[in-house]
Amino acid sequence: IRTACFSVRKKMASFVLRRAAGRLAPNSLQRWASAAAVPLTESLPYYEGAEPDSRKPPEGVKVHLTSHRSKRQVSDFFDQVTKLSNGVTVASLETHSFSSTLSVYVRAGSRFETYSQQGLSHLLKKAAFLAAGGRSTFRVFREIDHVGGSLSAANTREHVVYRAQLLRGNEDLALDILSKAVVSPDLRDWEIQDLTPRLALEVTAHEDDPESSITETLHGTAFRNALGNSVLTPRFNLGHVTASDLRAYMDEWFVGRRITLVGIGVDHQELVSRAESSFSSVREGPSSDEETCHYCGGGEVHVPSRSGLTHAAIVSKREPVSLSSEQDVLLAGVLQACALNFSYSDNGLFGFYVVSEPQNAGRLLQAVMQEFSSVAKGDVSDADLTRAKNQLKARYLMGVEQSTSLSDSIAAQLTQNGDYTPLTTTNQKVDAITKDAIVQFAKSVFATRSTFVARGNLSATPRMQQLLEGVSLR
Amino acid sequence: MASSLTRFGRALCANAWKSRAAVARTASAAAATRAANSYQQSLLNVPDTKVTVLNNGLRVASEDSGGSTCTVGLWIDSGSRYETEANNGVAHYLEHMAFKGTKNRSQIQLELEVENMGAHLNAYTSREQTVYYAKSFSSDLGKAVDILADIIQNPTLGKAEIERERSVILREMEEVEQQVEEVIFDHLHSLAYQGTPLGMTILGPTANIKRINRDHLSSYIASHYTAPRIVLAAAGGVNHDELVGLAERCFSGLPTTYDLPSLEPCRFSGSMMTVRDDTMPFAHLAFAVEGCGWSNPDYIPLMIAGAIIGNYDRTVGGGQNMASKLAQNIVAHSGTNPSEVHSFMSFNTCYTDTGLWGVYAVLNNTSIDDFIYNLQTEWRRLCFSVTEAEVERAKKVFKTSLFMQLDGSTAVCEDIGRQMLTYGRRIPLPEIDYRIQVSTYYGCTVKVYRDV
Repeated sequence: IRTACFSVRKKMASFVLRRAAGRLAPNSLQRWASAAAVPLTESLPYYEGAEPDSRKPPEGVKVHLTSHRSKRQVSDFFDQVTKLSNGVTVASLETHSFSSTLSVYVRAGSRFETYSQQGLSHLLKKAAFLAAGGRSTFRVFREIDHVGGSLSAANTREHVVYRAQLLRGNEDLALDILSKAVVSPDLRDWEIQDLTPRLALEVTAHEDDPESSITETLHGTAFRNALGNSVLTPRFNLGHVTASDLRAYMDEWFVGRRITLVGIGVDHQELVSRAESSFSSVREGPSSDEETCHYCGGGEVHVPSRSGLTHAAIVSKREPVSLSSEQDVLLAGVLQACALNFSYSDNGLFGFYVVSEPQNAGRLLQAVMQEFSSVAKGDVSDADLTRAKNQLKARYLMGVEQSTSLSDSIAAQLTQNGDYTPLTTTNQKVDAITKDAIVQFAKSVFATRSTFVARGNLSATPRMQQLLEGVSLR
Repeated sequence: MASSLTRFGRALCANAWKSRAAVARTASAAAATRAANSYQQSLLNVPDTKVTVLNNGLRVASEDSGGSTCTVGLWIDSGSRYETEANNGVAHYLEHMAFKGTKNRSQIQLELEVENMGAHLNAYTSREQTVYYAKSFSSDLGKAVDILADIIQNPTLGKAEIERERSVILREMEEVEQQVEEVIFDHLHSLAYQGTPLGMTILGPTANIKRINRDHLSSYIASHYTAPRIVLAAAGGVNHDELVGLAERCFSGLPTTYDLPSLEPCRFSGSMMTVRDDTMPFAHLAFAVEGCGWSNPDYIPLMIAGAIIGNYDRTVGGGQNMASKLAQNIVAHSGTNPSEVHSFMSFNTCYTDTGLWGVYAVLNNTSIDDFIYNLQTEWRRLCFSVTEAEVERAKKVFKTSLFMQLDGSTAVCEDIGRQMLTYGRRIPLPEIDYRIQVSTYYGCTVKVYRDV
């Protein structure tokens, strides 16, 4: 049996040969029906045992083995940023991995919607990969499927993100699809209208999710405009956003200055040259004419229901800062269980979110606020600080292990700071944060009036006034 | 580091240039070759998974990809399949108790130590595997391994903690009952493997949860947490020799018996169950046939067949353009109401010697008949008239989904642990790539025909 197996394997090796040369005769299909019939517990002779560098590929297969077993650190990877002539920023990190992730970030999130445009970026996300630039919707789906890749889109308050993930080798197709989606989507009326029921489904799903619903309500209550817009379509506007609205919005906001292309696992020069041609028709656009966002404190929203739990969040305004600041240390560590931290380019929210049994909601909120006020009075031990710093660094580093989070991190830094900070520098910045800085920050938060949202069984939930009375925050 | 990187980059370009010069081709074909070489090279560029077997039988496997974080964990070859009716639920209970303190660390000390490091400690139990793993900085590998060793070798299993945990687990059961997908798959297993250990749920029946005591837990550990059945896997910035040294220091006390209780083959019994609840908005359906075990060579053709059937989600804009024939039939045959089927996904759940291959769907209650008809038509079609183009596409989709998953140290560590337990080795990526590539449409059809 063993010799029979071995002869099957030898046949397999020559099968590889012929397959690779593309000259497979049809009648050989039958013979190779059992070619894969080697249990997965046994390795194939091509890959058995031997040290990687001594493996020889079968003859005829043009694979060029190079010495490649170098240990790689993420910080060692060559990351490069190039700005095209029309303002589009192209950044890439060559990880030499077998998969590539291409993401296009357009600074056209829900904060840029006008009153009647609310929900437009949500619709844009849903319509991301419909017909564009000569490619029908059918062709988009089939072409990306044909290379085994996947397309995804997301919308946040500040950005709309178009992303393609696939195995290395098909970046040109992916970039073509992404760039056409951004630059020249067809936006066919009937295709857009078909999306309304899908939007409605998503809106319903999020309404039922307490955390998502609280986040939207918090923002809507805390900000008068811009950042107060929900990332989801508000019910009153479902179905009222049309293809021509989309087109007008894209004409205004999809300009070179606001577009960032991030590639992970791609060659930078190739990406830049392809991007130059793909995004050539994008105009540079005026420098920022964005609305400033105003925080309105003192808002309070209660959404009672018969649910068995209470979800409550209290936040206040915080200044916008880059990633590795004291706010985030605070977030990560000292009040780890339930801190909320939303950071945008020109504004932000910081506070706490608790989920509890109805009868304990008041006490839990009080306890959290007391804890925070003790931090504001300077009650932060060195051990607390070290722990918080470790947790922050860990969270960040573990996050950027994955190419999607890494892309997001690079794009966030580029749009916020205009530059990408390597990980070692970020670590150093975190290490440099002092206890005083944290205490100062804690004092400054809740200096402005807070915003409070509670959902669920509100039988024992205090009003914001009562909550803040019981706690001294100076 | 940087210089070796440049050398590699230059070598890459040089080889690419050579391949172009070697054969006269058009520019696009040359680019395709360069890209193909680049993909092949990137597959080969993945660091080796180094495996060491300690004297007591413990296997240590790791892949060092550099980086300042790592994931390290224990993959144990035991789960609810190794339980009896009397102690069903003990594996999951033990997983909870592991975090409730050891002889060297009380629960508070354990939690504080993990938090101070900025690490995360996690565990899960499935039918055939129990996993405890930690994510931490690479420099904290020693501490992470020490903690893992402590929780599985020295748990205190205090009576008070055991009592307290009962209500936590009962609460967890209530939450799981709310998740329809979990419930459906539990029912599927109980139907498919009636009267066998695979048919039991992981959490166990309420009666058992109320009854399990210290003796159950400690006898389970003694009989199942033995060195030959455990794999210490790690990925990220881990040095294999360092890891082996740590393992020798921390795990040498593990019992070395390999008294694997005889794994009775779990016979597959076809059956059907309907649970009618008109208050639910949708109908949930799981339809499966017996598949194959992990190490069976038919695993790959079955996964490819599953990729041909594919997944479908009504909420995806343009989703009706999916290449899945089943999705197209559903959209085409749904008449005036295109929203009859909300979503479906194909699954292939594998165990050592058996598996479940099928489709899980969420749909309107009026379209169940149609869906089953379409599904069975699709299965018949797979047996006799699937095209080579579809198989080729499915191969790419399967390959991509396998490889794209390996993103980040946790996914890689999980892959190492699982493969060591199910295949006894970590299959190198080029081999997986090759095995998938040589699957032929003939092989797939034969497999589906045999099983469906």
